[in-house]
Amino acid sequence: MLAAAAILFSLAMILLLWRGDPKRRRTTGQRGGADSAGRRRLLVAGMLAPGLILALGGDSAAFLVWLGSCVIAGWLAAQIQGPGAAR
Amino acid sequence: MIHLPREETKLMVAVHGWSGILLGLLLYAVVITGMAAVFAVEIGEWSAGHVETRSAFERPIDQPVRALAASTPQKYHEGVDLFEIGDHNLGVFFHHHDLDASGTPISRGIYYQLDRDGHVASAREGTDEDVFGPRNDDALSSFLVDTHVRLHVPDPWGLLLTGILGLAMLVAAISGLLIHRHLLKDIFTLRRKAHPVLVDRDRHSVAGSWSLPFAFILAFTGSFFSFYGTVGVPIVAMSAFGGDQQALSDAVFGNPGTPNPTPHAIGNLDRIAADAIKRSGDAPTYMAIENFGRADAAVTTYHHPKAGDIEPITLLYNGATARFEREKPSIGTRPSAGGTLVAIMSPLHFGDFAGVFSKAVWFGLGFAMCYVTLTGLRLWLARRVERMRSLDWLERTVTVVGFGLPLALLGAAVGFLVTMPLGSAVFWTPAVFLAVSAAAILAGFIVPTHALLSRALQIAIAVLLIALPLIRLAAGGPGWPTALAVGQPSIMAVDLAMLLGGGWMLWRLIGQRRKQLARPAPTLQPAE
Amino acid sequence: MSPTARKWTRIGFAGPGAIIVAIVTMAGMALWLPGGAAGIDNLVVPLVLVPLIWALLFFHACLDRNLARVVVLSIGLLVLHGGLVAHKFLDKPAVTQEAHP
Repeated sequence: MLAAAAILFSLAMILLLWRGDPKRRRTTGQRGGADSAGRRRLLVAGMLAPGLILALGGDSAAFLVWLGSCVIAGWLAAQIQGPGAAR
Repeated sequence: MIHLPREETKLMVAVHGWSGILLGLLLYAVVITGMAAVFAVEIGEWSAGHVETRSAFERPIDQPVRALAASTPQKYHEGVDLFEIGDHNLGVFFHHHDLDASGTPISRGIYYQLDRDGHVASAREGTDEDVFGPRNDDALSSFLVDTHVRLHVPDPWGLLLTGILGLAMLVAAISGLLIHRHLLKDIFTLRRKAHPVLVDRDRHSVAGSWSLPFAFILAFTGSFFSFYGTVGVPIVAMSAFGGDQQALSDAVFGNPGTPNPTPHAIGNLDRIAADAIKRSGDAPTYMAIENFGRADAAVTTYHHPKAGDIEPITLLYNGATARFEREKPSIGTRPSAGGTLVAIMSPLHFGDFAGVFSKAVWFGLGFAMCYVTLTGLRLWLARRVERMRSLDWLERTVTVVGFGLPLALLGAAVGFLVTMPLGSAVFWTPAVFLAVSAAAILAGFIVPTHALLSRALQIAIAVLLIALPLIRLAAGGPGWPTALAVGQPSIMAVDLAMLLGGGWMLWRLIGQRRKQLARPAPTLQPAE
Repeated sequence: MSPTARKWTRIGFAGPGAIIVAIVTMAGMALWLPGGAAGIDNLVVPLVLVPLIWALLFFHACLDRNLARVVVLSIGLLVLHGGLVAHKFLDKPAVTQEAHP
């Protein structure tokens, strides 16, 4: 279903954003590997695009479920202790 | 993200902090019961062991309603509302519209509760305030919803209180956005090996930042629900209709048409129900009959939204002929911007527009809001407790409420499960809630250290979560094979959720203890 | 104006002021908003928006450095909408019909 695909795609973008987040990497002592500003903008656009498609398609129920899922996923992703966190 | 000048930022921090600390504990109570109330229907099914899965509207309603009408005074035939109660049984409210002493529209009539065979199990006469109340088999879900909507404070004060809490949440969300200068940059940063104030700050701001759009939506829709009846309608009615609230209600909800009081038997309600189910794809959640027994009778059925929509479906039937007239918007006689705006307030707040998928998301969002509220309270305290020992009591209070409240809610569930078969659940559900609350408060006074208090309450929550499915079975509730056989998965789902939730909590608490004993003292990091 | 007087003026407009102006604005909006396709927009939109109106007034009173502007805006809204409601009552004291068709 379109809604499930949209949510999964955005979730993947959120995980990539988490992985390359510059401040998170700094505070957990991971050197380098942070995303460039351009890459981050691309990932954010990628994260938002499925929601935009759902909204423009008129599926308000799916849009709201997508938005809520992104919020929860982002918050859960932030809880993940990446490599180097146990410093 | 937004860079305000220093003075304004300081003011926003004060507004955010003080609205949070003064109202935070009450707001937490509203949010946590709201989170649980998302699944009120499923909790009702789970706790009362409901195994009927066909809607009352999919079984004959015409004969029972006609029989009831024959024995109900004519004056109460102005309106007849049909809805489900208990285990998909039928509730019927024959009533007429009246005004109370202060000019507020009320309904007065007889409320019949039918059992699964269509016989009258109870009949109560009075106003809508008098006749609707918790039943033995929905005492738990009623208790949850009532705590959330009005904190058990009588109308209108309870609604005004929760409305003010909604506004406080709105203020906290907006001021939080204005305070946080690097909201997007910080959104994945959770420092763990840092000063407690920084750890709390990160937890609070990460959870708060992600959930900001929904904090806004839930606070706004929540305060709408609290204020529209108590403050909004009387004032708009005064301004636009000289105080006539009934006129306002008719303008917004009424079905205009030429009155025709000629007596005419009501059309076949089973035919209407069947047609409504076919058109909307789902059984009605509510059926409202106006002018029962007259030629100008009208029947309106309300249904869950179509897939993809969030606004409920409303179908209008000619009451005398049982013929379908048209689909109408929930609010107003034809689709309008204002009507749509009001109609989406409910789905946005309750999250029930896409079944279990949207409810699961709303539950998760509710959990995030509880987390934001509690971590905010702890952050406020963490900044001050080192300087002011006198705030120890507040720190303990936050822990007692933070963990004591969910513990007491679980206790209420135990009370309900044990006393429902005995018929006394309406009394015992809130009574056990109060008893467990008192125990938590007592623990707050006598447990020597704060850390031990916090741990003890969390262990109690975990243990109760695991015990609840077992208590439910022991009290005579249906087992998983029975529940699945009748197509009622929610019973098993709630059981599983509790077992997994309790298990995960216990595992974390034991793991934390091991880590505490093993690791060295935390190092300080420079504040950002 | 002394700093204390300014502070209390701001508190007054952010606190009770914002509540009163929001409620009066809600009442007055019912009289000038268009009815919309179903003739009900003027009745329901103010009901829905009143928490937002209050929030806007509250934050404006807190954040606008120009206190005079805060006072003028709040009192202006109060007078305009209060005036609309009062005007309606003075014209037809026992009215029970809707404000406009």
